[in-house]
Amino acid sequence: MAESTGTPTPRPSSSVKLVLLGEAAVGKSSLVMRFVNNDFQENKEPTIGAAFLTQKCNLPNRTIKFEIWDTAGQERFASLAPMYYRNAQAALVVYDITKPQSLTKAQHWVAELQRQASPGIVIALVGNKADLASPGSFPAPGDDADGVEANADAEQDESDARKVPTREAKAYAEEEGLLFYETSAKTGQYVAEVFTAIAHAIPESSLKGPRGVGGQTNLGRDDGARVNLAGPRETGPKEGCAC
Amino acid sequence: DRYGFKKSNQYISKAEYDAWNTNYTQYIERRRKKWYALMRAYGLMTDDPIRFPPKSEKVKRYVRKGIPPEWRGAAWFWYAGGPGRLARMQGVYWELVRRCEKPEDEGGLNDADREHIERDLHRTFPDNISFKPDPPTTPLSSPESSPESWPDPPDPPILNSLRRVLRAFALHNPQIGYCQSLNFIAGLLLLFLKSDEEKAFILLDVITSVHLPGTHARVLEANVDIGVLMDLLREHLPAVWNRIDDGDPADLNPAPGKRGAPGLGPAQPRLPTVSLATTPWFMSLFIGTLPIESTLRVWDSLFYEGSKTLFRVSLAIFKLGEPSIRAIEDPMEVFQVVQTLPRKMLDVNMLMEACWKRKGFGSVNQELIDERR
Ligand SMILES: Nc1nc2c(ncn2[C@@H]2O[C@H](COP(=O)(O)OP(=O)(O)O)[C@@H](O)[C@H]2O)c(=O)[nH]1
Ligand SMILES: [Mg+2]
Repeated sequence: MAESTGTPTPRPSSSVKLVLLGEAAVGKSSLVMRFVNNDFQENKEPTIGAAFLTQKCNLPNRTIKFEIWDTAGQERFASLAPMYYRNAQAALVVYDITKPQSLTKAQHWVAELQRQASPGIVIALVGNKADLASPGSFPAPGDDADGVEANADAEQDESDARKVPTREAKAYAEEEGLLFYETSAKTGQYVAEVFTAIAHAIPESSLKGPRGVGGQTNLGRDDGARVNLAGPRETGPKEGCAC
Repeated sequence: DRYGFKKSNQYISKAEYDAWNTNYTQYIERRRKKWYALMRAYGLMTDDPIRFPPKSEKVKRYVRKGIPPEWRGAAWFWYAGGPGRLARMQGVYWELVRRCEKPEDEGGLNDADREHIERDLHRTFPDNISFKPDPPTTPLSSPESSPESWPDPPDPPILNSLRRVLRAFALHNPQIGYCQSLNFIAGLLLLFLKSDEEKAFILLDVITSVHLPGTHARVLEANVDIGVLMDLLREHLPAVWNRIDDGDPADLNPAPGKRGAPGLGPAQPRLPTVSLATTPWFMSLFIGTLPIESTLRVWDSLFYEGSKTLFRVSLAIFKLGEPSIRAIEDPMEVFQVVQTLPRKMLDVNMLMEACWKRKGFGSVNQELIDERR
């Protein structure tokens, strides 16, 4: 699947180990499934232990091969987590925008990663299930931050299941220097963007080509600390990842 | 398929399934005739039997070759010592079900377990007909929204049974509570026990106390089983072991629990990254790992012979997968190969042969497993 989209151009390619963390049922596996297979399943079965998948992501001047470790979310599996995030260059910490508790859990994961994982790890905080929020509170591309905040604060109509205001999660992400997105694995909204942003944010120095291909320069590494509220553009990224 | 699951998936095409199924259906028919003869020889009923022949070499062979599908649940229950346990636990299950209704401080189930069970209920075999909401419900209100807004669900009866069994189990086993993967195990039990909740409850108890002690506990000991498997792999399939062993001595990762017993050899067994792929082999008893028919055949032997079955099957998977594993060039692919291997193993007869061959893993007996755990 991932192979089929590759162009024959010999772009330098490097692999990036990425781990997904977050409470059970926030949609980690669904995000991966959307990213890798461009598919979504209602009532996705829980992940037991972990699953491993790969997907390529084509940037303008290089190819990133993500080695994705999707983990089980239930508390008791947490003891296995260090085996997954050891040596990871990137982490997607996921919460569910309809479950405040899941953001708290996500914050614990962030803290643990900052303490225990590789120092240069790129962390993205992802609020999933954005489709369950009423349209007004979903940050549309091009909205400036104030607009989003105003919307998030607005009186909730009954179709809006959002419990975590964008503003709150975003402020936290900014403070900790995390990438930040609100996604929907169901609609595909911003899913590819998260991975593309991570690919951009991986510092050159930590890229090791799988077969000894050295890193190229060109990509800004300063992306790493910047908060990206809404993705660069509409869904269906042009350069983006193979999905 | 014959159990209400989907025939094909990402790993097995419809054509592959059909090709296998034609022969296998005949195989089941042949085995069924043999079982009927066996039952008659022991003077046992063949119509919805609850009693089965006493254990013997011959019966063991019969079980290894597969119990007739319609008798499976009953035979599992029988050989796992279910009737005796049931007699000892008369009424316990329904009492637990009643207690589950109460708030936690009055002896009921805690909210966390309750919520986790609820969350996974609809995520249990969503593709099986018995677990699907009955009529094709036109989802006017989105069914996947947050629990608060869940409409009183038109749950199929088996989901209500599953909810009760998981809740009662969690209440009865506070050191385990609810652990993801128990939903699958209990679900499959119910499917084959014709939704007899009490029996499913008892078998769940057997599995988590006899066959997989500690594996699902709140302080997860799943790595204990995996550590034992990795030891066995190193001894029995060194060529495979060499391919998957990526541990650098710096991060020896002693599993929690009762490891480190003397006599395991000089090196503390370390867990290679690949071992993570085997977590669900144990925790879910191969559900979702092996194709369903293969899973059921493993369970036949598991309930008859004990947990050594799980280790032998695991070794057999690695054995059958040895060529693919040795063919790998990029070490990063090892994990994917090991993860995918069992999902394609439709030919359960071949798997079981590899598993039980004397010269193969004959020395992997129950005493050895118990000792190494
Ligand atoms: N509405 C909605 N549901 C989702 C979304 N992502 C996942 N889900 C559902 O949430 C449940 C849990 O998803 P899963 O990917 O298994 O979560 P995980 O435990 O974090 O891996 C499943 O029933 C999914 O169908 C989303 O973006 N929107
Ligand atoms: Mg998952």
